[in-house]
Amino acid sequence: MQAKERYYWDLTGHLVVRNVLTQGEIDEVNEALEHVKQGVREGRAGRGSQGSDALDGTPARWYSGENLLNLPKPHCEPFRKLLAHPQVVSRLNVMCGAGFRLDHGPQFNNALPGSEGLALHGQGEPHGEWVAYHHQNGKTYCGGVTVTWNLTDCPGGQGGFAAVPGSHKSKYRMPRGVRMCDDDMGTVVNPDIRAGDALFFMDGAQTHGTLPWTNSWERRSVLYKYASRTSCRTGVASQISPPEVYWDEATVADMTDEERAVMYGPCSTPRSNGPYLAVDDDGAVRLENPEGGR
Amino acid sequence: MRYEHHQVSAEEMYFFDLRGYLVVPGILGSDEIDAVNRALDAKMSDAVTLEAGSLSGGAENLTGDSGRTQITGMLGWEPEHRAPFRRLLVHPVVVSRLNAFTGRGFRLDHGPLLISGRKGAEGHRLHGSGEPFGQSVTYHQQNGRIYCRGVTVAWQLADCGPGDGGFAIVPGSHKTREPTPDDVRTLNDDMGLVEQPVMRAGDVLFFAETATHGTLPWQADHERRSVLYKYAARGAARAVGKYFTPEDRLGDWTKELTPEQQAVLYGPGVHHGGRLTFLDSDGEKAWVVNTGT
Repeated sequence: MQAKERYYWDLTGHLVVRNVLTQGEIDEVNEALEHVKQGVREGRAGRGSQGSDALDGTPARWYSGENLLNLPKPHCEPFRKLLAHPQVVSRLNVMCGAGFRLDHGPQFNNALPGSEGLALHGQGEPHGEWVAYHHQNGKTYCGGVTVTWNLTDCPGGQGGFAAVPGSHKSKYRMPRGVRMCDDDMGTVVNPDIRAGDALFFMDGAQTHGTLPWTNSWERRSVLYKYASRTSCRTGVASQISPPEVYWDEATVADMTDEERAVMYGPCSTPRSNGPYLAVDDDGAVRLENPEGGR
Repeated sequence: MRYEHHQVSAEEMYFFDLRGYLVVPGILGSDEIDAVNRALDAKMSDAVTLEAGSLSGGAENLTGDSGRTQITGMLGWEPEHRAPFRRLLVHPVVVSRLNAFTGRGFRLDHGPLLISGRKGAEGHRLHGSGEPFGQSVTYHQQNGRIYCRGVTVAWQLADCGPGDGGFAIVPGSHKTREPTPDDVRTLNDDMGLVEQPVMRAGDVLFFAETATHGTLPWQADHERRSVLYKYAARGAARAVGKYFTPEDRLGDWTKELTPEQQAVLYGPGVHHGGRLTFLDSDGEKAWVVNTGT
């Protein structure tokens, strides 16, 4: 990873690496995606735009089905090639640190002309320990980095990935106008990204989202959600985090709900948001959301 | 210091942020201490004593004539023996402090672990530091809130008087940005930075795992006993758990992948016992490096 790239990454919170995939490789991925098109689902109307006129459009679309890495051969092969791509390894060893891992994904995002955007999310305040960005003594440490492989052109200003450069270092909450992109104070960028480019962005630390797709062609991108060695977000982690699964039976047998609450495996977003504990004025420990984690 | 039994006080927050540890005194009554000690006594035949030298790492000021005695697995013991340890697991003093130090949704990463030793038991070379940055246990403070990814709670079952040895720490080291000198880790020349907090049986110690800490040789006539619960923030992992390898997490199909592809599908955590592989790349190709380290 070059010094200029490191500077840009630290400053903005995202990075576009140009022309990583050849046209042949792009075609290979697109052909594989043709075999999962039936698994592409339309979301609920307004789910992404959350009522924002600036983000309004037809429902967003994404693939929901067998993990792309485990599709029948040969369709899994293009996605497996991208998993530990040399251009990814060389950057993530710097961005996340050695031992980075795929937390969840790959995720196929799809948009048709007129598709709605996705309200901006992720920010520096409150601090998200599992995706946080830190720089110290010439090294960067980011808990969550998403690599988006772009399979179609996304001309700047015409929709697709959007971000607030520098927001990974902000210590103030994101204003609603920025989240909804209807009063963004000029802080939101929609970078020019071409088919074959690889986009790296801080997923959670940097404020990011999607602008409505205004182009005449389909948008296709595949997102790999990486994490640093000790960060855990979701994916399979949410399935194995319940105490009875994560620990052995004897360790958690007959535990109270309060005891079980601290026995979940690592996962920033466990199913049902996980149970949390509080202490009453009289010293009693109680669950704050008794239905969590059930 | 002003303590609030069921809430963390402003003074406690100040002290923990400044020093990287906190002792809350007099939490367990003698009956509760006795209950924990009785349960331990019943199981001490399962305890393991480490070889002398295994933790002092050759540091002259930390050597002793015996190694540390330890035992774990208490939460899964028979009901009559595990009960005292489960009471400590979510003790109101722990919940109130960890909600403030680690954040809501904190979890037990590993432990509990009894640390014990008789007079002359060796110390433990000091470890942990702010540089290099350790993501698994980072300390961060922002807008009045503390986010510490790794906090250990050590229940004291025996007195640790002045000069007795036991837990030692470099106060403030959770915020340092400079590497810890080896002479501090070995106490060859600690520059007056290392402190051994005085604690009584029934006290509870909280410390940031990122702070430089360790153990001084045990000098008291009575046995040292401290039970450590290793907590972590919701999305942080040190122990790797049962589901670590790509095969265990995702299924048999991962066996078809190349070693480079498998390397990025391991679960989170740093206590992997050498099972993890790492990757390097020159931009043209990627390859596995230092397997087993």
